[in-house]
Amino acid sequence: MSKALTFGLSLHCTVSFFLLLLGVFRLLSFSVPMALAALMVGVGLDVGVFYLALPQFAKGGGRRDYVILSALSSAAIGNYVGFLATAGFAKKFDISPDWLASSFLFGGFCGLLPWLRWQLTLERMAKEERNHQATVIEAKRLMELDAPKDAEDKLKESLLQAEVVFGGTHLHPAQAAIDLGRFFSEVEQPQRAAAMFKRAVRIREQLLGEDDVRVSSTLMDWVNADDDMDPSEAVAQMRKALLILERQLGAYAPPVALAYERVGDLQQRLDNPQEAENALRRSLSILKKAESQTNRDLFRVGLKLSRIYLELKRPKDAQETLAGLETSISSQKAPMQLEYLMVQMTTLAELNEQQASQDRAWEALQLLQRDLGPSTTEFKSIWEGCLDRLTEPFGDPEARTVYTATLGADSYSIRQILQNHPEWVTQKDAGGWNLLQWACFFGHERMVEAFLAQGASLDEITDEWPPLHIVCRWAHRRLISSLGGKVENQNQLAQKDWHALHRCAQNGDSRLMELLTSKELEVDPVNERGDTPLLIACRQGHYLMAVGLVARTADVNKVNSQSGRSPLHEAAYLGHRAIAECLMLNGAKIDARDRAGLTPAELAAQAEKEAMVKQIQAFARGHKP
Amino acid sequence: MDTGERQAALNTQIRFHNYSAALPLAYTLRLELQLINKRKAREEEQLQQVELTIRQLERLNEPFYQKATRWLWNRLVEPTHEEPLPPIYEEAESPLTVSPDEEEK
Repeated sequence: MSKALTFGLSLHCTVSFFLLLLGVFRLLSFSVPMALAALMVGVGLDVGVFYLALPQFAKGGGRRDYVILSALSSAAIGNYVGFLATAGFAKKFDISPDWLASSFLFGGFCGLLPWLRWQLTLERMAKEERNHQATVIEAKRLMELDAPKDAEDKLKESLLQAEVVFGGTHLHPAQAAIDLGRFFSEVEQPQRAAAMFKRAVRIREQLLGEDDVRVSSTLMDWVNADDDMDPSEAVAQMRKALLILERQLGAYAPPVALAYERVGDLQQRLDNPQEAENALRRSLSILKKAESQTNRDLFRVGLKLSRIYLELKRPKDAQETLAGLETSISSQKAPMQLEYLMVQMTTLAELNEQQASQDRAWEALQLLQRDLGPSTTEFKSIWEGCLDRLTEPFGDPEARTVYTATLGADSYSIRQILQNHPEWVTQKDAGGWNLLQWACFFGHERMVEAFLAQGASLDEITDEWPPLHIVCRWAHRRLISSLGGKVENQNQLAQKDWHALHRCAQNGDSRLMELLTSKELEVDPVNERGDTPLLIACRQGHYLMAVGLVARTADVNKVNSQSGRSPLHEAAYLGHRAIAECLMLNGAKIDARDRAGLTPAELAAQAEKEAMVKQIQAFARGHKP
Repeated sequence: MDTGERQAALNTQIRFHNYSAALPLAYTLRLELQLINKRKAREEEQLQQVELTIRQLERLNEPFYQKATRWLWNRLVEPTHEEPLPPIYEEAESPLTVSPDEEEK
């Protein structure tokens, strides 16, 4: 907008001024006093236009307004100087008025020079912005490669470069500071992150005014990052952000709900459960009204509110809130599902419904078995709570001891008991697994050796989770190197269309993949959901895994047979920019369309990943990193 | 390079009126100071002084037409008051060079 406006204004000033002078001079045969008067009128016009335009330009941010104003002022000065020089020349040598008219053109040319200069400045600014975007991607890649110090240096350098080019007070250095702050949040340096967000807030407040949504979002980032901030001060800042959001977006906008949620968290830290309840209830009611909101936020806020109810000794209210969330549980991610089950277990126990509480514990165990793994903090308590039910098929209380010994890697006790019950090695429990599978799940190498020595076999188990898949899924490297030698055929790695590589791609352990692919395996197997390992790695955002697969000649354009999405579609949709860059550099098609007819850029736009869209478009234009 | 050295380098440039070279140094020093975890009172004071220095250096580094524009801006849109360049912050109170009297001895 400002580009067109400036050009229009520049043109307007030039043309109006020339017309005025032309008419006046022709009429009065170039009288000097009248020429000066006309000049003054022209100056007045220009200054008036600048004065009206100034507040508009100021909203553009930082130094850009000065650049625009400078260009306009210089354009006008160029006009006058150009005109006076040629007109003076014409008068001295007694040149006809027609010649004088051509002198106006020269004046116009002088006026356009600053405008051209301004265009060059804008181009330089755009280039700097592109460079910064590339630095952010580079930093993400370095983070994936476990080099956070290098990533930090890159981002710092980019911030300083932005300051040198744009000046300290400009929206671009503010954005660079926010990116650096996000980096510090990621590497868990909250104080440094807070310092950067604070700086960005100050700049944005100065340039955009205190009532801009961008100010409130940075303010929220700041409060979220700064763990050391006094909670009451944090609440005050959040309220400020909240007021801005309510004024600008309306009381029922989803960002307002998220701000209320944060206020609820802070009130809880301040030990004000009543205040926290009020804030969270407000947040929940806004989220229920907002149709476009995904139910993830609704689910999370609902869980928090239930926990507050439990703290306030109101299990019935907690149960009511949880019941409202039950319909959307299947669409939640596994950690949220686990949290839901844990809250419900406690609520049901408070309501003296022990059987229902145990059922929830059993569901939680299955979730851990399938999706979350043994390193989850809640695992041990859930496992112990479910042991009776798990060992029911054995029909012997001693089986409980075997399972406890498996978790604790007590191979001596196991050998003692299995001498009396050798059939237990292959016996399946209520969860459908045997002892070898559990030992693989926990990653206990000695226990696996012990069970194999007792007669368990890698071949016998033909369900969805063979031991090798379990080891790959939960990334037990030492086990894969010891079990890998025992793999005799491909069937042990591929089960029900799932290949061990798919499991590796799920957890993103590229070292594990290297151990597996040393056996010259196929790198593009397709599972029952139509996914290749590369598709899974791109979806999960595992950069090193994706790079490793591409380096092992995985097909970057092999699409999912059900959705028609390529690896680039997946990376673009979820905003994994470093992976997208790697794919594009290795020949991924940027114009491929999925079943819905969308290209990766269109899909990214749909998911509101603006930076990703820009990256793909820049690549299409030939701006390779 | 620690903040003391950065401050010394910045002071040197300001002392010789080399304002364009001083500005990037001032930006770097500000970033270093802002990224110190749990700043002490002395560092806080130093940071405030660097902020002031940066504001002044930015003005001193403006080209003529931008100065004219800012003059217009301050008169017509948003009046601000001019601040002087703050005194140079010195880490040590003692002089860096030996005085001529001492040299003669």
